[in-house]
Amino acid sequence: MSGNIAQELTETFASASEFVQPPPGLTERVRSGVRRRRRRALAATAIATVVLLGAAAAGYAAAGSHRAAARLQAPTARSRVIGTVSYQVTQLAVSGRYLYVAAGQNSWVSAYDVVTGKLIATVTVPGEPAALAVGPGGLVWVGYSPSGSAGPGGVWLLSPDLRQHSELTGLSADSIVPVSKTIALVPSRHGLLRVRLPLPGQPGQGSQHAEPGTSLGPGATTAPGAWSGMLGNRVTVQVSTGAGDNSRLVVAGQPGLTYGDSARTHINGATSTGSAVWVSTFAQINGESSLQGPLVRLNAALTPTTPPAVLTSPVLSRSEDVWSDGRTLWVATGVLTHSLVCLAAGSRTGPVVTLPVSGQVVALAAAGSTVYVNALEPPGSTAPSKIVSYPVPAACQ
Amino acid sequence: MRADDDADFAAFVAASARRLLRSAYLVTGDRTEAEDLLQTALERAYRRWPSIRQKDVPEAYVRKIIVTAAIDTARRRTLRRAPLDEERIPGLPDPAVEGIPGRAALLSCVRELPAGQRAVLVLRYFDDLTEADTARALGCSIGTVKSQHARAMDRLRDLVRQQPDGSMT
Repeated sequence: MSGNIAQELTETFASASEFVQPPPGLTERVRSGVRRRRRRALAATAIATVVLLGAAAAGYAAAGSHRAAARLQAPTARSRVIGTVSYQVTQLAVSGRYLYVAAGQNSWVSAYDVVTGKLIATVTVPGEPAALAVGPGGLVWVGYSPSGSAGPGGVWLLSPDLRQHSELTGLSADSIVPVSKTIALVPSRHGLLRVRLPLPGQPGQGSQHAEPGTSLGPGATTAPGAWSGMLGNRVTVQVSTGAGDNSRLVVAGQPGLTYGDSARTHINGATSTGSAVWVSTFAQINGESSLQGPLVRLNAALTPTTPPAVLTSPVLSRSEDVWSDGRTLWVATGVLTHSLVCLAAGSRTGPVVTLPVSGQVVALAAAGSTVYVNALEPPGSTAPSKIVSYPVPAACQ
Repeated sequence: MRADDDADFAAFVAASARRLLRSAYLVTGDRTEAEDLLQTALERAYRRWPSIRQKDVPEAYVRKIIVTAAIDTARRRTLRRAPLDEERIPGLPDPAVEGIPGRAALLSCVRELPAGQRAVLVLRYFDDLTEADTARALGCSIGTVKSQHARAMDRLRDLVRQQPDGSMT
C-alpha cells in the first residue's frame, strides 16, 4: 500500500462502486419529474397555499394529540419573499435593517434590506465563508476557510452595509463569537483565540492571541459550520473528534465538561439561549444513521435537562437542526409536514407551533418578531431557492 | 421535446447513468443521496436537452451538476454524515473476499477528507479526468485543482501512515 496510492485509489474506487446500478426506469422517472415540476410551476399561488394548508393539517392529525405535538400555524399573507437566490445559502444572520446571506461555494456575503427586499451589497471574501456572525454595533464578522486558491483562512470585520472591512489572515475561523465591536473569540485546535481587528475602514492591523485557560481538550478540532456560543459566561464549542461525523460539545477551559460523541448521541446542530444549550441529536447504530433525533436541552454543566414534553414530542424527537435568538427556539425536523417548528425557549417551554415552511430548512436567522428562512424544495434540490420572512408566532415568544 | 431529442436523451441515460451514479456515490458515500443527485441533474439536463446535445458535452454537464451539488450538501453536513461507510451499503464487495485487504482501510481514509478534496480524487482517479476537465467539473481553476489534489494526497498519506500495521498492506 505504501507504494502507489494513486493506483490504489483507482482500483479501490472501481471496486467500491462496482455494485452501484441505476434504479430501473430512470429515464421515465426523469421525464415524470420534469412533468411534475412543470405542473407545479403552473399552479397558482393560491392553490399552492391551499395544498400546503391541507398537507400541514393532515400532518398535524397524524402527529397525534400529544400535549407537545405541533400546532399548525396557518400560512399568512404576512410571510414575504425577501429574495430568490440561485446559489446555495450556507448561513443567514440578521441585524437591524439588514439580512446577511453567506454563500459558501461562491465565497459571497450579501446584505438585503429586510424592509424593501433590495439587495444592498455583495462582497467576495477570499475563501468560503465558514462563519457568519453579527456583533456589537451591527458589525459583521465573517470567517473563511483555508483553500488552495485563497491561501490560509482568515477573518473579515465588515461595516453593516458591507462597504468597508478590516481583515486578519492566517487562521481558520470555523465559528466566531463576537464579544465587542473589535474583538471576537475564535475556537482553534489549542483553545480559543482572541482576535482583534480595526474597525472597518480604519487603519491598523489585526492580531490574534491565545486566550489563556480555554483549552478544548486533546485532539479537538473544529470544522466549517461547527457551532460555538456563550453558555452563561463561558464559550461552548462543537468540536470534531476526527472520526467521521462524530462531534461533541465542550466548555472552553473546562474540557472535562462535554456532551455527545457516543454511539447514541451525535450532534447535528446546537444553539444557546444564554443559560442553556439546545442540541439536535442523532444516533448511529451499526453504522446506520438517521440524521435526526431527539432535541436535548443542556445546562451550564452540559447535563441534559430536557423537559419531558419535549422529549416525548413526536415532532421534536425527529429534530435535524436548531437555532435560537435567545427568546425563541427554531427546530428543523424530519417530519415532512412540520419542516420548521418553534417554541418559547424560556424556563417553561411553550406549545410547539409549525410554520408554513416546506422543504429542507438549511439556514435561518431571527430577530425581533420576524424569522428569515431558506429552505430547499425538494430537500437537496439545487434549484433556485427563496429566502422568506415569517412573523414569529405569539406562542413562541 | 421532439421525439428524436427524447430518444437521444434516453440513449444518453442508458450509456452514462451508471458511470455518473458511481461517481456520485464515491463523492457522497450514500447510494440514496447519489441517486437523488443523479435524477435531479438529469431532470435539469432533460429540460435543456436540445441545446446540451448540440454542445456535445452532456456527460460533463450532468457531472458538474452532480459534483457541485454533492460538495454543497456534504459541506452543509460536515458534522452529520459518515460518507463512504461501506458497512451501510448492502452488496458492497467484501475487501477480504476480493483479495485486496487494503481497500477498506483506504476507503475509510478517503472518507475523512473534505468533500471538495474527495471530489477531486474521484474525478481524477475514477472518472480519469484531466486537471483541466476536473477544474471545469468543479467550476474552479486548474491551480485550485492542483492544490486540492496535493492537499488530499498529503492528507491521505498521513492517514494511511496512521492506520494500524497490516491494515493497509
